[in-house]
Amino acid sequence: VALNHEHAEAALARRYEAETLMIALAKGDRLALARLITLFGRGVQIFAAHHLIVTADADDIAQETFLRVWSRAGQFDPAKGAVSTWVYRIVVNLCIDANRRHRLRRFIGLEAAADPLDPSPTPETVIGARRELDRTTKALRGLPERQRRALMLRLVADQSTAEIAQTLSISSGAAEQLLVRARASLRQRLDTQGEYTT
Amino acid sequence: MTSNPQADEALDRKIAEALDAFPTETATLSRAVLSQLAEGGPPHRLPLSNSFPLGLTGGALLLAAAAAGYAVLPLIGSFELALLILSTGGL
Repeated sequence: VALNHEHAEAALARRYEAETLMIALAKGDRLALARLITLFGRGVQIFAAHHLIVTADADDIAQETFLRVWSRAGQFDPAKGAVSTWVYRIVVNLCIDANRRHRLRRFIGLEAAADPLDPSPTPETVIGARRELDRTTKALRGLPERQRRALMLRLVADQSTAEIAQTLSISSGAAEQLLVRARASLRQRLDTQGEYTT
Repeated sequence: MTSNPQADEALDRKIAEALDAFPTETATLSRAVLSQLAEGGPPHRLPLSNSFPLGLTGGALLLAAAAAGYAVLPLIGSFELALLILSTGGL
């Protein structure tokens, strides 16, 4: 209970800081942008890397996300939702567009199919934490895109079901169902690999 | 299909722990974004109210000016055409 309380307090503090940063950002404060990248950058990069067909494009998508955050900061309205939902909505849309472009280019033969497990595992990466990461990434990548999107928002953006619904522009019930199905499917995939028997 | 909050939380925690090993470079990302801005990246769009503080009145004036311009432009075109005809000695 104490841990949950601490977690909720930390989340509230992050939310307040992000909103304060957006006010500074709207006035053209570049230091505020740097701080916002510190707050959301890692989550955005991980989300993009697990959402994009071409994982190598994750850094470009993360950069484009924050450039858009910069240019559209004046349009952010805290009454309509948290900074997190606003930022991740930009990431989601950029990833959907990038995947659509990749599928089209692959369909007309301009691009080869991407390696879903990029970067390739090296001798150092097949041990310990990295092996767990590869296993988890593989299981996550096996999920249908919409389920993966919802679950990644929970895992890397720490969003509530209501926030996930807002980010993805769907109802709370639909977001909950996506999470339930994603977890069930993930459990099955990880159990098959002999891990995570919860 | 229903959820079990405790099992869900345990699964989320394990997945999140595994994702902790994902290599990211927030400092590099920050540098890349800020250098793109320094090189003249996307313009910083201020709220419309900041760049156009007159509000409705300003909007109405702008529309009126545009309408006047639209009405006058064909006349200028006709005047120039008449000058052209005259300068070439008529049709």
